[in-house]
Amino acid sequence: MNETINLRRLCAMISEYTGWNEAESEKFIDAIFEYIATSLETSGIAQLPGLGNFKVDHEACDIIFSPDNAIAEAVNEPFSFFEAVELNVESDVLDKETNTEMESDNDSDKDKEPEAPQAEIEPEHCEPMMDLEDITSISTTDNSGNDVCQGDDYIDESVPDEDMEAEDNIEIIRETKAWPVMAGVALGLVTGMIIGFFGHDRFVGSNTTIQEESDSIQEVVTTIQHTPVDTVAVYLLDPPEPISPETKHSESPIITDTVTAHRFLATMAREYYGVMEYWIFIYEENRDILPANPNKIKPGTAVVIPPLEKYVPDGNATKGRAEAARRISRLERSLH
Amino acid sequence: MESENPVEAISSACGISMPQVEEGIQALGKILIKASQDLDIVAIPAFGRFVTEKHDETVVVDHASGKRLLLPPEVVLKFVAGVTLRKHLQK
Repeated sequence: MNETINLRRLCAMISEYTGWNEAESEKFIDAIFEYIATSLETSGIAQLPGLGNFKVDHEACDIIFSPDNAIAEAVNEPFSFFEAVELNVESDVLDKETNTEMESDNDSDKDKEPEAPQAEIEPEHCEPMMDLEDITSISTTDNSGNDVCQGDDYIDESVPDEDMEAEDNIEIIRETKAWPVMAGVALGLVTGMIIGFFGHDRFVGSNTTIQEESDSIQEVVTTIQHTPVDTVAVYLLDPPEPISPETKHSESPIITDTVTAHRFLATMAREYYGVMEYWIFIYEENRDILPANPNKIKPGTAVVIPPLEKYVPDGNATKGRAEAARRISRLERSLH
Repeated sequence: MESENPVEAISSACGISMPQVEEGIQALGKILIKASQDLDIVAIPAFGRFVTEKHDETVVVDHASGKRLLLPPEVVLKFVAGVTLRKHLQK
């Protein structure tokens, strides 16, 4: 791999294919490339059916080689099954972003509209609402200016009929305030009496109950002393399983994917990890089933997608990219 | 070269029959294919060398339709002209 085939070795290889001796092969090679050079010099183009076309690029002072279709397809055979894929993800994302922006703009416009009429509706002539707390804490006055006392029992009968409704409301409120307090006090007394009646013995204690409890405790102690070995032995036979990182890792689901004409390792890396260069992690995870040359992975090959934490424990993108680059360069050196 | 047919020209230059020249060209093509698969370089003295390049997958935008296409990776056979040939052509 990554070797340089010199002229001598090339002649030997041609001899193997054609059955010629090395001298004839060398003469043939000299003739063929001499023809190419001469054609390029005279016409700027050299065409060899079965090999390809050579063309002089005067601007770049270079020679452009276009191999024959058969040679090009054979060279690109590992990737011949792959096809160009139309991407719609980013465009859809952009569309969604623009839609959300448009919606937010519309919402902001909608929010602005009702503000004006609400401001207009805010009344200055309407009577303010009276809260219950305000009623009990402040001194109320009727429209005629007469004060209404805050006492719970006193009702001013001289108040005109127009204000009777307000007075009734105040009276009801005062009554409702007192009733729950009295009920709560009564309930508390009853509860305390009940607790005291039944819990007296428990808190103060009696000789008979303590004696009974001690007897029961003694029985439990004796039972334990008589049968200590079996329980301990049972525990030792069935110790709890230690929680190890491996078992934790095995609980996580194994993700697999299949290389197809539209999906290769770099595509999977971008999809699962968000970084295309992380394909090397997928490759090394499946090193057992993949060929030595990652460019020769055939479609239909099922690969396991490892968790990223296995190769990038910190989750640091910079470290991850550096690690991926290091592994890729190591792989390339091994191929060469 | 007066002969337009390259096979005839090569046959007359090296004294090998035309069918044999065609067979030799096919053999050369197979050698280049195998070399590219092994990522080897075929060096022709005073001419140049044939190298293999791998192009990673790229995203291109078709300006006519506005579509974004993900092109798959590909391996191509390229020719790098030698200094001697370039100087000869510049003259």
